[in-house]
Order: sequence, then structure tokens, then C-alpha cells
Amino acid sequence: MTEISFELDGEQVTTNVDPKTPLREVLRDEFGKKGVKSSCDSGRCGVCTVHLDGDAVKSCLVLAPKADGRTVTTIEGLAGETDDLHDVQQAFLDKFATQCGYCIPGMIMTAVDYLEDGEYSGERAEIESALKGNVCRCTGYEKIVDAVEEVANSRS
Amino acid sequence: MSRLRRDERTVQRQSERVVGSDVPKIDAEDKVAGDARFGSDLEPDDVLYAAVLYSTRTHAEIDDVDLSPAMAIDGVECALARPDFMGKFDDRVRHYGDVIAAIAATGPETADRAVNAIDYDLTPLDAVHDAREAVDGDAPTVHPNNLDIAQHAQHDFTIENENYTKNIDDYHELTVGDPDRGFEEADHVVTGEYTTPRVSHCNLDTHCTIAEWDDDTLVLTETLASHGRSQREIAGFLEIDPERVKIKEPPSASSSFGGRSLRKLTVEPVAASLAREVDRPVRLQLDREREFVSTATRHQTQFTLETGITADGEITAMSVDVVTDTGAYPNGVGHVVLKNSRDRPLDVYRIPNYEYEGVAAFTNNVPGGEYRAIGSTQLTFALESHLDEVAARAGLDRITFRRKNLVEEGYVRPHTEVPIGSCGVDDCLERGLRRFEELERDETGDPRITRGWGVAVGAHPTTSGATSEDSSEAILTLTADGTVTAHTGAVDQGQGIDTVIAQIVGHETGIPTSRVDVEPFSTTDRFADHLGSIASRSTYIIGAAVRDAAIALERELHDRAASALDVSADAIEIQDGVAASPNGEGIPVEQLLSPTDGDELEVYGSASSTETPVSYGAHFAAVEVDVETGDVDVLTFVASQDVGHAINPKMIEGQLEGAIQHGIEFALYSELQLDRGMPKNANLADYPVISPKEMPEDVACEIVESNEQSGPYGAKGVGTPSMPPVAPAIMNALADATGNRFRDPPIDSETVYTELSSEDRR
Repeated sequence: MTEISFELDGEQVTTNVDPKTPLREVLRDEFGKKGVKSSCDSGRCGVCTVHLDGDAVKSCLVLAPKADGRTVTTIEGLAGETDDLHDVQQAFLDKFATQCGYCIPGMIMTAVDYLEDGEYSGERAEIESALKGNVCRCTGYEKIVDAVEEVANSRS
Repeated sequence: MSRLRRDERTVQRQSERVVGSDVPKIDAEDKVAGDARFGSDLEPDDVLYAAVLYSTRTHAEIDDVDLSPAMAIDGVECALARPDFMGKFDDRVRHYGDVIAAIAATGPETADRAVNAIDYDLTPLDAVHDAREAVDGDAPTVHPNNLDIAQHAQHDFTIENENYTKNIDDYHELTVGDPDRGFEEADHVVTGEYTTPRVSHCNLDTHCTIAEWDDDTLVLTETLASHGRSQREIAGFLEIDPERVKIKEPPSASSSFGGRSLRKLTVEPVAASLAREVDRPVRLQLDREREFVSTATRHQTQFTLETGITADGEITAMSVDVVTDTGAYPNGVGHVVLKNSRDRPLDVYRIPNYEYEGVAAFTNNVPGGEYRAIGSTQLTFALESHLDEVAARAGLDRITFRRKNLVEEGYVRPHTEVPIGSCGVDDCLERGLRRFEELERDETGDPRITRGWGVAVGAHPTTSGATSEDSSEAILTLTADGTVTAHTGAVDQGQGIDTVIAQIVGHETGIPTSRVDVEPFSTTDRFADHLGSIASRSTYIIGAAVRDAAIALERELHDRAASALDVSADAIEIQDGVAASPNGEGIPVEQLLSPTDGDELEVYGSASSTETPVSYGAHFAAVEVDVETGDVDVLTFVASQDVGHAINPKMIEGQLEGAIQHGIEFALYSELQLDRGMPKNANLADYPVISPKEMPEDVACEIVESNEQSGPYGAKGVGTPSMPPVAPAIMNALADATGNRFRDPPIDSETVYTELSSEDRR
């Protein structure tokens, strides 16, 4: 077992883990972050996407010790202390981007990372490329891309 | 009489602002915030974790299972071999992914370790993996005792076809008019054979149930869209009273597309057996491979179609022959595939002479199950591909030919005595084509690129059509905080029925939709809507029941407000939850509760319909093909769909766009590949699901409103009916682009390349 400490959604946390445990399991089982979803176990679907030091990672592919000393943000901590939604969350709501919603936490975390670096064109083809590692089964992605496009346009 | 007048006025006034508008989804905030909790997120404190030993053989007898090495592992609370499960489990496995034994342990890793420790012996049996071979008298027998078949027999049939002698799940035939004479009268007769793939739903949240026994009652916590049927079938299989099975929905339902309509023998009865043995809750979740092989896929189906037409394009006769693969276990869905394949040509086209024969066969393949527009999706691919071939043979324009033969409102279909109520199919074609032409692109000029376009018409009924009448009930409760809670038979798996229910309540009562809560499928104990959210019936029949209850609530509130404000009920208007009289005096609706109500005012509503209104669509696709690689790109897709009445247009677009995704996969990408029943791609790294990159650059939705008289506000279903025309529109575009007809989807780039280059060689 290895002791790891990291900042999780604004809180400093410490736990002991088997070093082979995926970060996703620690987030879900140890810290109750059920907003981080679980699905394909092969890195294809992206529902478990979180931010590690601000970059989107698939937490089923990251071993928990990698988070040691770093900052992990999940969908549950994305909006920070405020009661308001993050602007990407709000755009997903406004644009009817959710259906069953299972992919949405990971999708939003990927979209936030794409929109955060400031070096985006906001063109649909580019947004589609940015989201291609996140699977949604319900929406045909149209309204998800609409939502990201709206934020891209409003920020530029 | 004055009351009726008032209702009509209220409906008209409020429909402008609630029903028919894009009310935001009432569950969206939880979902974007990451607060939604699905079935697999639930882990009660004292729960045990199940792990299952699955068969890697497709047909075998279980000789011996030694559970003692598993039981010796610390943390293992229970181990059961299949013959010792409750109910009708026997000593055979019948497909890859079938169940041999199961463990319940204190943690998931322990349970997995224990499963690996089980020693067992199987004797392989001869297996059959093709439905056409399975019906032959010499084929291996999949169900020697017919024990578990009995509970699924949905209709009696006798088979005169001497080729169909064995492993029969279901059989249908139908003759209309005089098919022989119809074919004789034809100027052109065209025959074609088509097959459709075994497609997986690929729901992201894998199956997960928590089974618990409360005395003699089994309580299952999971998303199951059809409670009554699941209760009956689980109880039948476990050999207990259906009243003793309760289903509890998790706070958020997981997506389904049919994948969660019904029980799976590999899930609920296994978890129930373990939970019974240990008398503790047991959580059984499938991993991704099991989700592919231990649940169900769309039925792989083979079609032979023959059509006769006159020189000017009138259909004189059609023959449809269907063989569908039920897979290893019956679930009543083979019947639906056959019935929908039988009826759909007659729902769309005027066919005076028609013959149909369909058989569903047991094989040792992964079971077939419900999937968005069961049977209609498969048949429509075959039929619409075929009709393009027929039109081409006769030198007719594809759209003109279809239009010449389409049904219309009032037409009496030969297989039913009921005239068609609402029918927007011609509008769908006209508006869809107009939109499609607006989106037409300039030629690229690149000699590597060839482009083509395609159209397909399709239909699927609202409500399952399984019984002669469909009905539903709803209860609305108004509480002292001014909130209305709707108890209905609906499960919102993402399609948005909870929002539709809130819209209907808001529309009828004047209480804001933001103050309407919808309880997921709360009907189990309270009243009997047995079907739930399947077959695109939710808005149509559950919505109608909610509307009935909401009108009752509105009347009650008007009467009470009238006495409180001392005016006539006619004079009351409720807006934003406040009942107001003409002189401006107002009273919040929650203050209209009386001491005799207790804590809440409860009203009941119901609806029933003997109709199964058909929703039509005409879809258009433009594709381009890179002739040097065979890559196919869907450039443009227009889904023009008759929904009766659009209660929430944005959510309807969401249904259409999702159908386009699943249709593109069906046509070009997705198939669970089985090699003699053994899966080759049962994981999401190898099994293709499409990303936003593979969606068309231009997607357009045309919503056609034909005003279905039997539906609430004129609405009928959209989720399933939007699916069937998608794949054939793409396949017809591919044929148009390449000059080559592909009849066995999914068609990958390698297949296209091979075909095109072999053509070059000729």
C-alpha cells in the first residue's frame, strides 16, 4: 500500500492505496465522487474524465499514485465554491446537451480543458476533434457540440 | 357545460407558453453538475458483491462444479452453481457469456478472485450458430425440454413450411389478396436478399442490479423500463408469485435504447438466487465484455424481398421472407421482430397483394433482444434498399415511385380494419427534400471523391401494439409547499419524458413546470401500467393519463379558488401557481389545500387507446466516398419526422439526432462479430461506436405535425420511429455514389474499396 495526498475539488486529502489502483476507483470508492463515471475500462469512452493539474485525463487509465502531490478536479468541484454552474455546465443545460447524462461529467471536463487553453478556433470540426475521445450514446453529439461552440464564441 | 368551455379556453391559452415550447429538461441541472446518481452508483452499506463464472463455450452440459476453493477464500459469503440457482436454471449453458456459477463476497475483487478459483467440467455439445441452419431437422437442439420457452409463447401458430422443423421460437405468416396474380400482372419483378447486423446498444452504464429479499419479496434496484413485464418474467423464471417481485428505480435512469426494457436471465435471477441464499443485498454489475455477450443485441435478420410493379411504378405484389436469430434464450422479442417485419411494408405502402413468412429460431448465439424500433429497423433497411433497386430496374425516379405508392390518411390497410389516423409521410418527403436541397454542396472536382444521395421512408407504431388496448394511469399530488409530484408509469432514460410530464402539468394547471417533480416509475404498488417507457408510448399514453389528472387538478383548484374568492369558477385564472379572480385578488394554489386533504391534494387520471398510431419519417443522406481508400463520409443528413405534435421541439431534435447516430453505426460501423458464437470484438476498443467526427457535417431536423387525434395535443411517438429510415437512406446514398448495392451492413471502408476495385477490374 502507498500513501498518497492530493488536492481533490479544493480539499486536501490523504489515503492509502494499492499502487495498481486506477485513480477512478479511488475517487469513486474512497472519496465518494460518484460524479466520476465508470464504463469501458479501456480508455475509449471518457466518462471517467477528470482534471489532473488542469489537464483532462481518463481516470481509469491513470494509476492513483500519479495523483500524489497534485491537484485533481472532478465534475463535482468544477464550479468551485459558488452555487452557480460553470459556464460550460450552463451551456450544456441551455443547449439541451443532456439526455441520459451518463457521459456528461466526462464530456464537460474534456470540453473545459479544450476551452481553457485559449488556443482554440471554436470551429465545429475542431470541437468535434477535441471531443472524439468521449462517447455519448444518446445525443448524436449535435447539441453537445452546440454547447461547446456557444462557450467558445462567448469567450472569444 | 360551462366547465367544458372553461377547460378549452385554458388549454388554448396555456399551450402557447408551455406545451410546444422548449422547456429546459428538468433533470439537466443535476446531470451537468455531476449530481445525478445512476444504478451503478448505488452501494448500500451491507451489500455483497457478486461475480459470475461465465461460459466461454457456446453449448455445453455442466458436469461438475467444485465451489469449495472459492468458498475457502476469506470474504466469500456464498457460492452457487447454476443448477442450484432458484427457478428454471438447468445444467446447460447455451451461449458464450451464459452463466455457470456465481459468488457473493464482501468486495468486488474478492468475488472476482473467488470466481477464478472455481473448478468445473463441461461436456461440449453440438452447437448451431445460424438461424437458417437451426430450423433444419438435423440441427442440434438448443432447448430440449422447452421448459423456459413456455412462458414466452405469445400466440399459437402452426407451421406448414416443412423446412422449419426445429428450434422454432416464433412464426408468422400472412397473405393479402392474390400474390400470384399480383406478380403475374407486374411488368417488372425484382428480388433481393439482405441481412442486418447483430448490433449492441453499447449503453455506457453497464447493467447493474441490487437484489434484496424482504421476507418473500424480491426487491430489485435498477433501471428497468418495463416493470410489469419484467416482474412477470422474473417471477415466472424464479417460479414465484409476480406480486413478490418489486422493482425500484435508481434516482437517475440509465440509457436503454431497448437494452434496459426487460430482465436478463444472466442478471436478475442470478443476483436474486445469491441474495436469497445469504439473506443480504447483492449487487451484480456486468463488466464491458459481459455487457456485450451476456445481455442481448439487435436480432441478426435475413430478408428475401420480391416486388412486382407496373411499368408506371404501381406496386402489384410483394413477398417478404424473414429468418431471424433469437439466439440462445426466448424473451418474446423474436415475435416482435417478425410481427413488425410483417406489418411495416403495409403501414407505409399500398400493396394490394402481399405474402409474408417469418421464422425466429433459437441458436447458440448471444440472445437477440429489444433495440430501438425492433424489427422495423431491420425490415426498413431491407425494404427501402430493395425499393431503390425496384425503381432503378423500372427506370423510375426514387421519390416519385415512392410517392405513387405511399399510404395516406384514411387509407384502410389490408392487415387491419382501422383507417390510418394521422399520416404525415408525404409532408415528411416534401419538407425533407426541400431542406436537403438547401444543404446541397458544390462538387469537389476531386477525381478521388464520388458523391451520392439517398432517401428512405420508414415508420414505426406508437405503443407496442402487443395488445388490443394500451392504457396508463397517473396520480398528481399537490403539497403545502406548492409543489406537484407526478406519479406515473414512466422512466426517463434520457428521452425527456419527465420534462414532458412537467410541461403537461404546467400547461393544464398554471403551476410552473419548475414546481413539478416526477417520481420515476412509482406505479408498481399504486396502479397497473404494466408496460412502462417502451415502444415510444410514454408521451402518447402516459402523457395522456397525466393530462387527464392535470385537468382534474385544475378543475378542483378552480372550484376551490372560486369559493375562497367568492367568484364563479369560470372567472378564475391560474398563472404562476396563483389563482386569481378578475378583480385582481389572488391566492397561491397551495393555500387551497383544505384540512380534509391531509398533507396533500391527490388527483387521479387515466387514459386508454385502442389505436397504435404510426409515426412516419422520410430521411435524406448525402455521402461521399474516397474511391482510393473506400472511406465513406456522411456529409449531410436530414431527418424529416412526423411526430403528431411537438410538445418540446428541442427534445425531439435530440431524439432524431440520436437516431441518426445509431443509424450511421448500423449502416457503416457497428456489429458484434461472432465466429461460431465466439465474440471477436466484445469491448469498446474493438467494437466501433461513432464519435462526433463521424456524424454528418450538416444535420437537419424537420418536425412534421400531423395532429394525431388519439394522442395528447395530437402527439405520437418519436424515439423508436426516428430510427428505421436512417440506415437505408445512407445505404441508398452509398449505392448512388458508387453504383454498387451493398446489402449486408455494416459496410466498412475495406468492403467498399474491395467492391470498387473489383469493379474496376471488370
